[in-house]
Amino acid sequence: MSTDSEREIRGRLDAALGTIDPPGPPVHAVLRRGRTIRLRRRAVVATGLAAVVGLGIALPGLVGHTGAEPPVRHSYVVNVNPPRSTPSKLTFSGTINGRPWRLELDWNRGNLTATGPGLVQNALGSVSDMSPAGQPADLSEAGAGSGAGARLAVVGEVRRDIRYLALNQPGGGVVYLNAIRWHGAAWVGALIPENQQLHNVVAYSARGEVAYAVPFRANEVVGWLRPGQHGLARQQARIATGMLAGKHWFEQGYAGPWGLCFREGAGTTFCPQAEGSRIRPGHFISWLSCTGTGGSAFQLWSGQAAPDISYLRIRMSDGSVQRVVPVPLAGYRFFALASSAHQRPVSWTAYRGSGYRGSGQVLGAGRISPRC
Amino acid sequence: MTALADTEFTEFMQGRWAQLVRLGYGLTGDQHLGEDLAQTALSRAYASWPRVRRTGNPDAYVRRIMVNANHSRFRKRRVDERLTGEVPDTAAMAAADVSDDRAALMAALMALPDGQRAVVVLRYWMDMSETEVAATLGCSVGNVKSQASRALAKLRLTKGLAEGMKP
Repeated sequence: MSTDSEREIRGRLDAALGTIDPPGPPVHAVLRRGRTIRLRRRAVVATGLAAVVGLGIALPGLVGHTGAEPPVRHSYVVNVNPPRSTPSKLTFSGTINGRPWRLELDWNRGNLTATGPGLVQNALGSVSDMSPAGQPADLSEAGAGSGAGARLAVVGEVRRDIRYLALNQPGGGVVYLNAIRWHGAAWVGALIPENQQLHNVVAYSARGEVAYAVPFRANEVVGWLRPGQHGLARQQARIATGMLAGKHWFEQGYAGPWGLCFREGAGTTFCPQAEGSRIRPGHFISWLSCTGTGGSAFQLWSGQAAPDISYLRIRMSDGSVQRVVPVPLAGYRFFALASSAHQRPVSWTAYRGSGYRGSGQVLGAGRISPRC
Repeated sequence: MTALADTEFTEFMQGRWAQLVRLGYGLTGDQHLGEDLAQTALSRAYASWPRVRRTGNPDAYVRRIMVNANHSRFRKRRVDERLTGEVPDTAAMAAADVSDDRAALMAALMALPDGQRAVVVLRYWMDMSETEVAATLGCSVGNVKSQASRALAKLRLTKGLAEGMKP
C-alpha cells in the first residue's frame, strides 16, 4: 500500500470531516433516552432451548386481528443445546431443521455474532445496553440471513431470579430457554426462524411463573404482564394515511396484550412505551417516533396528544401547515403526519372544537425541534 | 445511576460529541444521521455506563456501538427513534456550503462497502492502529489490512479523487 496514498486520504478526510462543526451535545435527550433504554426497554422475542420442538406453524392468525401479513406456513424443528461459556465468550448453539447455528457473545468487544450454514458471519450489533432493569427479560432481536434461511437472533439478559423462559408455540409445543450465568448476569440466546410464530413467552423463577408476554405479530415481545393480568384489549386504528410525492403512506396502530405498536407504510414497526406514560397534566403533545430517513422520499412523524385536543395545526420547516386530528386507540390519542425528507415540524398549535372556519379554541402552542 | 456518574458521563459526552458526530458523518455521509448515530451510541453507553466505564476505554466502546449501529441501521426490523424537545434545532448543512472536494470524497466513501468505509474512517481519519480498528470492528488485523488496501485501491480509481493519490 502506498504511503503517499495513505497520507493523501488522511489529509482529505481531515479536510472533509474536521470542518464539521456540530451544534452542542443534546445532553438531556441522551440522558433521557439512555434512561428509557435502561428502565423500560422493549423486549423482543425470544427463543432457544434444550429441547426439540416440531413446529407446524399454521396457526390461525395470532396476528390476524392486526391486519398484518398472514402467517407463513412452515415446518421447523428447532434444537437448542445448553449454552457454553468462557470468560470471554458465551456461545449458544443448536440446529434448525438439522442445520447448525451458533450465536456468540464476545464479552471484550461487546459484539454479537451469528454463524452457521446459510448465514454470512456477521456482527449483529452490540449487547452493551442489555439490562432487564426490573423486567423479567430484556431480549433483543436482529435479522440474520435472508430468504427462506432468514433467522432471527434472539439474545439478552434476564432478571436474576429468572431460571428459564418458555416459548409456547400455537400448536402446543414448548421451547425452553435456560438462563446461564455469565459475568454476574443471567443470559439466554438462540436463533429461530425469522417467521416462527409464538403464542406467548412465559418467564419462570424457582417459584414458578412470574410473568408472561403475548408477542406482537409473530414473535416480537414488547411488554410483560403479571400472571392473570390481561393488558390492553386488542384493537387497531388507522392513525393517518395520505399521499406524498406520489407515494401512499399510512400509520396503523395496534393495541393488545403486548402493549402498543404502530406499523408504518415503509414496513417499519415501532412499539413505544406509551402505556403508562400518558401525557402529563399541562402538556399537550409528545412525539413518539420519526421514521423514513436513509434515502426515503418522505418521513413520518408520530405523536401522542392530550385527551381534550380536537386537532393540531403543525407548521413545517418550509412554512406550510398541516392539520392533523388525533385518533383514539386504547384510551390514548395518537396522530401522525408525513413530510418530505427535507422538512420537519417546527411548531404546533392545539385546538379544541371543530376547527372549521376558525371556530376551534386554542388550547396551547409550542415550538418543537424533532429530528429524524 | 448516581449524580456523580451522571456528571462524569455528561463531561464525557461533552468532550466527545463533536468527534463522534464527525465519525458518524464519515460512516453515513450525512451530518444528521451522524448526529443520530452519535446520540444513539451515547444513549446506549449511558444506559450501561457503569459497565462501559469498567472496560477502561469508553471511547472504544462508544465507537464500537456507532459502527455496529450504523451496520444494522437498515437491517433492524424495528425503529426506536424518539423525538425530544431538547435536541438542538439547527439547520442542515446547506449543500452549497459543501466543497466539491468534500462532496467528491464523501461520494467515494459512500460508494465503499460498510466495512471498508469503516476501516478507512477509523484507520486514516481517527488514526487508529490496525489492531484497534480490528478490535472495534470485531475482525482480524489481516482483515483490516486487506479491507484498507481494497478501499484505497477503489478510492484511487474514483474520478475526482485520483489526483494526488499515488498508486
